[in-house]
Amino acid sequence: MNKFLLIEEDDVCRSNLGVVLSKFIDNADLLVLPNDTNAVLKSLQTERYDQIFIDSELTLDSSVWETINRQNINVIALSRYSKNEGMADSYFEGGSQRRESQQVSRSYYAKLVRMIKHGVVFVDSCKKVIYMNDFFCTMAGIEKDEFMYKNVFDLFVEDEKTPLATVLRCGEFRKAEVFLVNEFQNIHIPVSIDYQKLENEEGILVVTDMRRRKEMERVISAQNKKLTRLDKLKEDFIDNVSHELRTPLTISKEAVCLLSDKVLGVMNESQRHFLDVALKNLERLTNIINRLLEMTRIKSKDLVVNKKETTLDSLIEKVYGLYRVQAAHKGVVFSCECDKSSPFMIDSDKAIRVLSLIVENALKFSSLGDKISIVGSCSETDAVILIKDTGCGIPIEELDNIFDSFHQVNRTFGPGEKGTGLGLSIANGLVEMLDGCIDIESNEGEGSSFKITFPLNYDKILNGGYVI
Amino acid sequence: MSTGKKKILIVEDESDLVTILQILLSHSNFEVFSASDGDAGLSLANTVLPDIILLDIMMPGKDGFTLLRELKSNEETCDIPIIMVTARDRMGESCQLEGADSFIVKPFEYKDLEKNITELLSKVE
Repeated sequence: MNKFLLIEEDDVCRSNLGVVLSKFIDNADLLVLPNDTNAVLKSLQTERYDQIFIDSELTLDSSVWETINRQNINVIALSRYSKNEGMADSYFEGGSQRRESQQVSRSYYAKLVRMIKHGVVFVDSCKKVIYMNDFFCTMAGIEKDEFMYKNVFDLFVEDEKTPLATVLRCGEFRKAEVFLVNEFQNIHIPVSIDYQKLENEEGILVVTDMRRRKEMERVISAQNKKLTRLDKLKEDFIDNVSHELRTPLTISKEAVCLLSDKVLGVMNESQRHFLDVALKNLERLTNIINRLLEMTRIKSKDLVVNKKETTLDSLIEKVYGLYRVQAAHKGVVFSCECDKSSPFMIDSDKAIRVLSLIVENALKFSSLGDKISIVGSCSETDAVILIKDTGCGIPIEELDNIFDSFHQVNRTFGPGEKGTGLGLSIANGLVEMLDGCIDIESNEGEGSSFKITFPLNYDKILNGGYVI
Repeated sequence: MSTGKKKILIVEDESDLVTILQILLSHSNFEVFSASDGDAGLSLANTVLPDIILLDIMMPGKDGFTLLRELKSNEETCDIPIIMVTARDRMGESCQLEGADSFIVKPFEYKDLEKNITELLSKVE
């Protein structure tokens, strides 16, 4: 953000110039001060200005100049011209008139208005054009005097959505998107108009050529469509490949089962061991394919949310039941605790799936002696489930990517612990479907905490809580 | 003369799967017949009149749904329970809408298929 200081004594000039400067200079932070040495010095000491505008007729105190020079700030002196080059220039430059009249006060920004790479049009109280800058004339393909005192509406073709007349009638600062008629080139140029009513019912229109922006919007929109199509192709590809993989997978699994079930005779221990290895890895492959399909279905919005009445404690109890044995087998202390909640509406299958995926993830990164807890609570508006583990935690630089598909933290984990990189991505996708959210806190080496929030839709919460 | 065994017809173009299912189903005391496409499946269904049919959806030529409709609209075969086999979970609903008695999604385990068959046969009886 650029910081500008304008030092000006005249009240009207201060007001109008302030409006114009802040409008023309993008990201301008403009402070306007009278020529009060103490105030100016104080401001120079507290702020770092990029540019200072000074009324050339003011005499600044030497201490002010010293400070400005020491800070090496660029200074533009705004001076009055005494030339009289027709109505337009005289309107701004004020001729020989002095600041007693309002016309003269406007003379300061004549130079500025000429410099700006936007069209600038001033209109009188009847919306007749009284000034247009060179940039606007070029844009509209007209001579400077050609349109003087003509109705400003004749320059534009209005858009039904934002009629220019409404915008110009309004005293507030307003924006309109219309077309500028360039009869010279026989084209309509899409423009954006920023309108500000000035004092005595006159107004200023800042006209911005939107062609480049519109073209960019068109290019971005086309690219967006292309990317959406490519994304769809990718999803379809994953979907088709996954389905195609299922048949050979079925055959392989059945073939292995045929042998391990001793249908074709008894095997020795070593043969049986390797069949178990094959079977275990076929299960892993099945899991990967199923998760790929689940992910593509979430992304293609192919899943339907089926809300049923349930309670938070029953959800948590189910998830606890699903992983209790597995946690005990791994030597992980697994616990759950929940407020008693009134029934609310949620797709409980999907909610259980979300919690399961996060517990699975916690189990994956926990080892003997670690703790995993599920704590549920209800506020007036939300059901909050906190799943905490004392496992290996997530490095801070990984936290932002944790929900990306196929992203895996610490891939070199022990045997049997390799995942698909899809679990948390699926959990996040499902939570979004249920209008909830997931927040993570994690410290590497200390464990992670996943906070899952689902919006509630029930009448009242019963008091008290209980431990499952 | 009846062997006392239940007759099952597998209509499936994956010959390896058919071979394995034949062994497993025979082991479970079924008399197994198989066809590798829809037309062969239709003619075998009419001659053998199996107790239950395992029908793959995606097959070259006549697909499983077409065969399902033909079997269900034929007086001789309309009461035979049919289990559709699909690789797509979302096909399950379509299977039931088309008149299938049950469906199973690949990759399935034999014990689940066996359970499915047993349940359907006990319903018929």
